Amino acid sequence: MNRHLNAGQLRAALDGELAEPERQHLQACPQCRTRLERVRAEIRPAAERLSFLSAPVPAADAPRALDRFTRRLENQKEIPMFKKLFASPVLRVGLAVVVVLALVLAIPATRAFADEVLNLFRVQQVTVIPIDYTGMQQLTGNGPLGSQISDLISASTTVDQKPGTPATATDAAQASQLAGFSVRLPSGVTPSRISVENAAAFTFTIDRTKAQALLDEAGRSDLVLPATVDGAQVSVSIPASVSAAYGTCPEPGAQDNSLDLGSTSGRKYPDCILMAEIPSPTVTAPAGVDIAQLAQLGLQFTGMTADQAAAFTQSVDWASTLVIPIPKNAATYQQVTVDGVTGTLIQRPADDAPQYVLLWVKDGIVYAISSLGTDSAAAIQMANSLP
Amino acid sequence: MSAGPAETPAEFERLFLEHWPGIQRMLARMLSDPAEAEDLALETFVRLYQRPPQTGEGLQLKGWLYRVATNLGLHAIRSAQRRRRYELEAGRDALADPPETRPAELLDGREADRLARAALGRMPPRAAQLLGLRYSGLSYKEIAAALGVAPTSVGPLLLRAERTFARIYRSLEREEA
Repeated sequence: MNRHLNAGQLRAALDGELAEPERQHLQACPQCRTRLERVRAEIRPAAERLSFLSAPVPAADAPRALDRFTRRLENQKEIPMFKKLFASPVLRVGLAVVVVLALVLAIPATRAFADEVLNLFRVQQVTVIPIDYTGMQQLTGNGPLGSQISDLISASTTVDQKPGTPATATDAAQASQLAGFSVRLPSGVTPSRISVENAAAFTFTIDRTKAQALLDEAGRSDLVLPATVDGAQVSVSIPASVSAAYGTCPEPGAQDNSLDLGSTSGRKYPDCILMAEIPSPTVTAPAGVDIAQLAQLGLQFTGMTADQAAAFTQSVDWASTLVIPIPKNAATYQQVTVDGVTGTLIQRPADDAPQYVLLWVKDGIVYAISSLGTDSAAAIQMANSLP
Repeated sequence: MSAGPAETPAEFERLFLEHWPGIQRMLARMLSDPAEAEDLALETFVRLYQRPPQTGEGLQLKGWLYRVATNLGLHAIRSAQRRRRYELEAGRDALADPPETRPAELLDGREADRLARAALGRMPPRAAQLLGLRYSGLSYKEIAAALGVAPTSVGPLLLRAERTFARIYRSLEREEA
C-alpha cells in the first residue's frame, strides 16, 4: 500500500480502526503521520465536548429493569386498543386537544365536560402551556356564545360505554382487582375513601360548519378550520381509574379528581388531598385530521401569535403528550422529580383559594395528586412513598 | 412475536439482560435526566418486543438496538431544545420559577454539556447518531451495522460529523454569548 491515506482513513487511525495495509503505510510514511497529527488536533475540540458521552455512569441494575419492562408491557396489554392502534394506519393521536381544552376551560358552562376531558388522554408525558385568558374574556361568562359552544360539544358526542356508578374499595389490592391494573397507594397514610371509576368510551364527531360559525361569531374568522376535519370521528377510550381521598374530601360524584384550577370550593376542604391513577387512555382520529394544525389554531384562538403557536405546536409530540393549558398570570408550573420520574407541579398562588396538582406518568399509568391547599411538599412526599 | 432474534420469552429475557446495561448507560450519558434515559431504554426494548427486526443476533441486533436508542435519545434532546426555545420566547421567566426548580442541567454549571447536547440536536440526525454511537464506545463494525454503511465509510463520515458538530457548537456559543 503506497497511496497516502485520506482524511477519513486518518480519522479511523486515531480510533485504531485502520486495516492492516493502511496501518503499515502509516507507520512507514512521515508525511501521513504529520497529517495524522493535524487531524488529531482538528477533532480535539469536538472530542472534548463530546466526552460526556463516555463519562462514567452508575452501573445499571438489569434484573430490576426487566421487572419494570414486564410491568410496562402488562400495563399496555390492559388497553387492548393500544396495540391495534399502533398497527393500524389510524393515527393514535390526541383529540384536537388544545382546541377543545382551551374552549372548555374558558367557559364555566362547560366545566363539567372539562373535567371529563382532562381525564382522558393517552399520556406518556405532560407539558404545560401558559395561556393568556384575558383575550378570551367575552367567552368566560355564561353568555350566549358560551352556551352555544357547550351545546355543540354535547350534541356532537355519543357515549359508547357508560362508566356507571363508581365502586368502593377497601385497599389497593381490591382496587387493583376492580380496576384491572396494578394500583399503587402511598404507604404510611390511610385513605378515607378509595373509589374505582369504571371504563368509559365516547365518540366526538366534528361538525366543521358549526364550529367555524362559532369561531366567526367569536370574532376570529381569521382562524379557518381545515375542510378535512368535517365529519371526522374522534374516539376516546378511558380505562377504569382509581382515586383515593385523604382527609375530609367532597363526596364522589362531585368532580373529585378534577384539575380544576378555577374553583373556590377549596375553602370547604382545606385538608383534602386526592390521588388519582389511570392507565393511559387512548384517542383515535382519522388519518386525515392534522392534530398539530388544529392545536395551532386552538392556541391562536387563546391569543397566541401564529408564530408562537407554531413554535409550541412543533415542540410537542401530539401522539403522546397531555397538554395542560394554565392561566398565564394565575398559575405557575415547574418540573419536579417524583416517583423516580420527572413530574409537573402546577400551583395556583396562595391567594384566597390556593390549589395545586402534581402530575406524572410512570409505566403507562398517569398519576395525579391534587389538593386545595398549599402544601405541595406533602404531595411530593406521598408520590415518593409509593411502593 | 414473529420470527426475529428472540423466539421465546426466555430468549428475550436473555437478550434484555445482555444489552440493557449498554443501552441504558448510553442513554444516561446522552440525556441529562436519568429517569428519562431509563424510560427511553425501556421503550427501546418495548420496540424490540413488539416489532422485532428480521435480523439474526449478534452485531446486527446490537446495531438495531443502538440505532433505535440513539434515535429516541436524539429525539428527546431535540424536543427539550424546542421546548426550551419556546419557553424562552414565550417569556416563561414571567412565571418566576425559583432557580431550584430548573432542570438539573441548568443548575450544575455544566453549560458545556448542555451546549454540546444542543449542538447534537441541531445536527443532521444521522451525523448526530454517528457521534452518539462512536463516543459511546461502539466499534466501527458495530456502527456500520447500526447505520447500514460499510465499516470503511465510518472514518470519513465520523470526521465530517465532528467538523459539523464543532461548527454548530461554535455558532451556539456565539448565539448565547
